[in-house]
Amino acid sequence: MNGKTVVSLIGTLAMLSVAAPAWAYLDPATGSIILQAVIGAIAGATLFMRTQLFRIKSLFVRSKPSGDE
Amino acid sequence: MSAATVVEPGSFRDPGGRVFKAGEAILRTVTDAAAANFNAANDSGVLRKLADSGKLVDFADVTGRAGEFGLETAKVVLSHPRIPFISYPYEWSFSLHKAAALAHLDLQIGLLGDGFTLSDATAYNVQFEGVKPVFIDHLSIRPYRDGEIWAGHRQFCMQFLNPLLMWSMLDLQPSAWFRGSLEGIAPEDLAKLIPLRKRFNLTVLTHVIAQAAMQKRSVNTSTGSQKYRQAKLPRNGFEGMLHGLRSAIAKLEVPSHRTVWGDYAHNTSYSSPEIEAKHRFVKEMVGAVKPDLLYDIGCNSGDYSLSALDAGAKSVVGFDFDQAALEVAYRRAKDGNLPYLPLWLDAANPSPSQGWGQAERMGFSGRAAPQALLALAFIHHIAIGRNVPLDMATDWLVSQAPTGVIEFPHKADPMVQTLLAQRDDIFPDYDKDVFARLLGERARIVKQVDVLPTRTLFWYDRG
Repeated sequence: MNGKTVVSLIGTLAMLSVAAPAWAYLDPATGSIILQAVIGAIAGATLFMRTQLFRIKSLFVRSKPSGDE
Repeated sequence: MSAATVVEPGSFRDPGGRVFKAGEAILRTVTDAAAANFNAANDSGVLRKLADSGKLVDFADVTGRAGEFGLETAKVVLSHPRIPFISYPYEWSFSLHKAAALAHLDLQIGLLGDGFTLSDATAYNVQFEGVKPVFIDHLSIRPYRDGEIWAGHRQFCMQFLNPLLMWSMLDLQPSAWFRGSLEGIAPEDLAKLIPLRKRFNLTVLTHVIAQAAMQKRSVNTSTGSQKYRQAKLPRNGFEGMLHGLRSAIAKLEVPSHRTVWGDYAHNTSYSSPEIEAKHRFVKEMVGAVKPDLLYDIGCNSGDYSLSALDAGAKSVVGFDFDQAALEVAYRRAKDGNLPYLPLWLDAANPSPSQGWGQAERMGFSGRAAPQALLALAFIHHIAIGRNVPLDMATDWLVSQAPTGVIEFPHKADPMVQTLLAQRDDIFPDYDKDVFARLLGERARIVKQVDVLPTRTLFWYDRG
């Protein structure tokens, strides 16, 4: 399995997990759609990770009481 | 009003509307199918905001007068100001193309903030006022649906990103290819040209290499795009793509154009008595004609275009074959905020009428009707450089505008001698007196002056 196959497989999987019809008179072409599905998945994952990271952080880091020296 | 309403042949692709010419007026119809989207954009005020800021060509609702134009069946009829000169991406210099790409992205980013998006990403929807990009397709703007993919992504790559990458990474002017394909440069094609060491760049890797690989794979496995129609792109992903492309494109430049900037200041300060005489002659003609539109064929870095503007030309379109000179001209137009558009032209092979019905994209001849012409230090390039007989070269120049100034460099001139240095002189008719006779047969010679012993300027007038 080469790199291209991996990328396109991830794309296909990412795409099957989400659903929203595309409205366009323009055919966006498959390559572009898969790419966007991958980017979408990465963007989604990044956001998810950031949220999780923040939640984990907040468990350990106590917020400093204001007005303290 | 009884002017015949003629459909603009380049406007058929979007079934949502068409563009018409009725005399001097430019009209756009909105069909039932597109009316909801248009009304949403119009009612939100986003169209007005863009038009007022100069990013979108201005518009006025003239639906009430639809009957006058024979357009009663349209749901909405808009009227637009006329753009002085319609240009195409294969005529743009690198800087113009880059400015158009950034303007498109900025428009898309701004629209997204207002809850709207663009239904396509065609470069033909960008035109120039001076060298300032302006978007011309009001019907491409429609409400954004959360999670929808960027439908115009591939088109953006083909018509903006790929030509710019080809130019900057490979130092290869994409104009001839773009002009041939009209739809731009496909990622699958560009991917084959990019050497391995230049692939390790996020933009290239994602939008060219990966997109090409996926496109190829999907074609090979013949799954078709139907199955992929359900794809979703979260808004932050969409914005990430747009901002990523914007910052990548903003950094692009052409290696071979770099030296030009250094020469710019030096060149523009250069002056001599014959150059001053040329400027005076140009200004005299332009001052007398006061053209709305003037063509400067062989404009170089725009010295005489600027003189024409000084002397009262309302707008100037310059044409040159030298991309480096066009970059300097672009910079001057931009810095001075001038109504001056410098474009690429191979005068021996100007843009043809092409596309669907050979009418979708207009050829060079007849695209606009300039009132005046400048062709300085130009005619020897086609008469000697490209073997065009002098009478045919004269015909072509004089046919461009009813009046203008043509410079005739004599055979003894160093510019002409350079062209003859490597070849036999097979041009016995290339002679000042022959030219004067040929020009006199086609127009009245208002005035002529020898700016140098080997250079003569002719002011002709067909009227």
